[in-house]
Amino acid sequence: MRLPRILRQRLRSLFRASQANAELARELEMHLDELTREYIADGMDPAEARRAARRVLGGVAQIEEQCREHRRVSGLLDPLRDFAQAGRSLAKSPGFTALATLTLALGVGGGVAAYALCEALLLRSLPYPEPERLVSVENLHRRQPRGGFVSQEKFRDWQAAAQSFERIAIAELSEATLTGDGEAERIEGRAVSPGFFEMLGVQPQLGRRLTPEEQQPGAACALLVSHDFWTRRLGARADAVGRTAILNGEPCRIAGVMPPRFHFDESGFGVAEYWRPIAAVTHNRLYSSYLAYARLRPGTSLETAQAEMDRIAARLEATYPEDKDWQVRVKSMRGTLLERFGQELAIFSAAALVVLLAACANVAGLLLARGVGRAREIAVRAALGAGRARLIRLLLAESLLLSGFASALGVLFAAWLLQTAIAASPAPMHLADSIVVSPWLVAFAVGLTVLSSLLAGLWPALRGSRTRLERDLRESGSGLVSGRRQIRSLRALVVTEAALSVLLLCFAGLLAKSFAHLLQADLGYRTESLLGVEVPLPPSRYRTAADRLRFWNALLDEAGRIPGALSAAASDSVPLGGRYPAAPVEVEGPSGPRDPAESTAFVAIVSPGYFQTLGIPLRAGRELGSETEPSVIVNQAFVRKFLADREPIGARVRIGSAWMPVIGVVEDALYFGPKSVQGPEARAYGPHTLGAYLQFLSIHTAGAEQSVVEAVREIVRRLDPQVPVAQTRTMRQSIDGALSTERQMLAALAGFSAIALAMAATGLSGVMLYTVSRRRREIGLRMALGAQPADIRREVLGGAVKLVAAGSALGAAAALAGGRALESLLYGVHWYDPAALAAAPALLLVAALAACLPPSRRASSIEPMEALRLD
Amino acid sequence: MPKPTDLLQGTLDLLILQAIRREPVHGWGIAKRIQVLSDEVLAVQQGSLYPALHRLEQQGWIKSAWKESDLGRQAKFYELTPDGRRQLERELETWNRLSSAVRLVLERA
Repeated sequence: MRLPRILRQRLRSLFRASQANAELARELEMHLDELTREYIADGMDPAEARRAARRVLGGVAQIEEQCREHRRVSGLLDPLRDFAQAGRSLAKSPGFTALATLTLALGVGGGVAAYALCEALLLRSLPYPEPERLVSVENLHRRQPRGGFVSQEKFRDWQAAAQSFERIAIAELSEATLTGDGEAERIEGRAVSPGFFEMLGVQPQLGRRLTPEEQQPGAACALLVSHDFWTRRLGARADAVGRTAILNGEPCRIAGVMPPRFHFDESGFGVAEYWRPIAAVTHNRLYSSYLAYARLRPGTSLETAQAEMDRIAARLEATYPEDKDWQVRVKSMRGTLLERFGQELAIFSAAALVVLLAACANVAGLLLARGVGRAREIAVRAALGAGRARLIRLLLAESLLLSGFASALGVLFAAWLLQTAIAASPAPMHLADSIVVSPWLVAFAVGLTVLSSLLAGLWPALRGSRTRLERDLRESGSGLVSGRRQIRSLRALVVTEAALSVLLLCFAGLLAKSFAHLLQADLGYRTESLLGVEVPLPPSRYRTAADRLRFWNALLDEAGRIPGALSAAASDSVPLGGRYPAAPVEVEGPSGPRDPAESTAFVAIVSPGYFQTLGIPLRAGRELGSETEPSVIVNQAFVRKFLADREPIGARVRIGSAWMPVIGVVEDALYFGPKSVQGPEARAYGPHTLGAYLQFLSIHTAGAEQSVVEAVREIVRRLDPQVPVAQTRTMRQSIDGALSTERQMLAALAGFSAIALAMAATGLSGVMLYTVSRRRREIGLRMALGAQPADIRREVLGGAVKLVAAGSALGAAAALAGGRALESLLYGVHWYDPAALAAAPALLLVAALAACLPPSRRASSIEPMEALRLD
Repeated sequence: MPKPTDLLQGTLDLLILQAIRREPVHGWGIAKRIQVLSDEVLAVQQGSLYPALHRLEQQGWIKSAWKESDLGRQAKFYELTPDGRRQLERELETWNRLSSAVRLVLERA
């Protein structure tokens, strides 16, 4: 009964607001009349009575507004009204609106991009059911915990014993030459053990998983292919399943096509295009070339699985002598992702957050300054009956509207940032597939918008809504010492912005210095005018060592004669390319017992002219010729490790199986690129005549590398059209590829800090302009009393320098406090590098002084008389 | 004449409800009635009266209708709803309990 009445009332208030207002007006009118009559009855004259009644009655507008609030429609209608009013007020100052929108857009955009990257890399790059149960099982040596590869024999022992896993499977890098329709092509894939896809929980998009029969040893070859392969090579035809592809000369039946988002490139290999059954082989327990993955049983924790694998490893150590010192680590795949990307993501997100904060501070400053200029407008609104809550709502509506525009623009900025990140990220990351507009992303963007509008708008709104009617209405806005409180707040904001920009500049400086160090690092081989061409010979056509050698000798011979080629050489690996097999090393003569795990060296097979072509200087002895006798060239790290106590040339070493003499010593070269923190590793180079698998043709070119690429392709095609040219890369490209993460991090931080710097500079300039305009009369007075323009300029600039100094101190302190987080990303630079930390405030100071020139000039050009006449 | 006392927040609602207990009264009449009945001690500020009336109406305790006043002019008359009547009883009870408690303290302390 009461409820319907209330409802009716509210509806009436909502839809017949004008009638309600009219009624109220009539009521108040009557009240006024009655009061007037009473006063007249008391003996006043009518006009005076009317005035007195009006005085007693108070502000009609305020009563109306209060009644409206009691009618409780405010909650429904007022936001609309607030927004409309806010929109009108923003439209009246387009310059302010554009600047504030742009500033906030940069902040919001960076934040949204950071979130999208985090979500893509940490949550979406494992597109499998219940990914939290997926683990990798790593086989690690106690003293050299690297790699994690395991042998088939040991894997079978694990599989038989472990109870913690629902399924455990292994995968191995597989490469094949694809022939048949179209040009011969080298493709990469994985060989996987039975149960691999069941373990991940994925189904092919077309066709079916590999059957147990197809995975039997000796079964006819069957394959699953990637979605990319299906579209690229098979024309995305629905009848591709059941067709045959020729891999390494062997016909293989295509059993299925995997879904587009299935990649499983979690191992640092390249992009997989096919999956085939693993060949069941029995080498020995140390032939570790497989990576093991497993799915935990529901309810089994990582710790339980780790404890069980510890027990199994201990038992195997006791059983097999070659398993001594080998341990097992169970690692969640999520954890691995976090390890791979976590730090970069954290720094990127932190930088984006700093920019967002700086943007909010900047816009807060703009709003504050605007609020001061609007004090009279606000006072008029208050006089017309707007309560404080109403004023705060109005001001907040403005900042919400601003951040609304800003986030629309910011989303575009974020999209651009993400496009750039996708373009620059290595292919096996499959970043483009993982970035999606998820509900979480949308929620995050909306949340960020509201948050930024509150951050930027709340304080100015609280400030601006505090009105003292009388004073604000009377004040003309240029009193001698007016607005002091606002100026203090503005200064605090500018100091904050300066500190944030210095923080980012410090980090960007550290990364820049580290990057410069990486670029200038002496790698030990030439980085320009060097082309590497990968030419994998299909084993089906080149069965014997003699076949392979014949092809390579012909290729080397012709490649050396290409115009523009200074020299050419062949090898099984090049810096930043191919794989580096390690072999145990033994030295003839007296030497103490060595730990087999620590007495290995990387082994490469090279043709004559290899060192000359790559630019690795020979230190002693001679280069390899066309010897048929086993002999070896070693690097200086090898000498330090194995031959420190004797003359290296002529020493006899056993690498793998045969004993051979050391005939030369070359300088160290960083094959793993500039980031090798371990320094150069021991390396031995054997002659290519020994029959190993040569893979790379290196050419030292006279001019641009690209000029000889076509000639090389032509030669290979002429020698054997069935041989693919897998890859052509200049050494510069390889190095750039190896530094892509560093380059991206540097670009991101440099960009963010440039934005923050620009914000700090514009913020400072704005505050200074504002201060000068508030102090016109004071400055005019002082100039009238004899102050020189230079003094005034100096004073204005001095004020700016003080703010910059305070901000710099804060920012540098923050950089020192947080710098350690950057440590593992830095090469050749300490996180407390004084030059980088000093450069940031210096840069800010330059920007600040440049930004403050206009305000200082305006201050010194104030005409004393004019300024004093104001008001 | 002593300055009229400002009304305690909440007390005004009670006084308004009480003032219209017997018959519908318009705004001016309510203010007048309270002033007269309190021997000119309580003066309802107009700035509080009309918002309070609106509040009470929104809460469904009073309803209003336009009628002709004694002086032959249209005025908005407020009267209690059944809910308002119950509310008035509740508020009276609260008031009585409170004022007698205050009186006890003043007498005994």
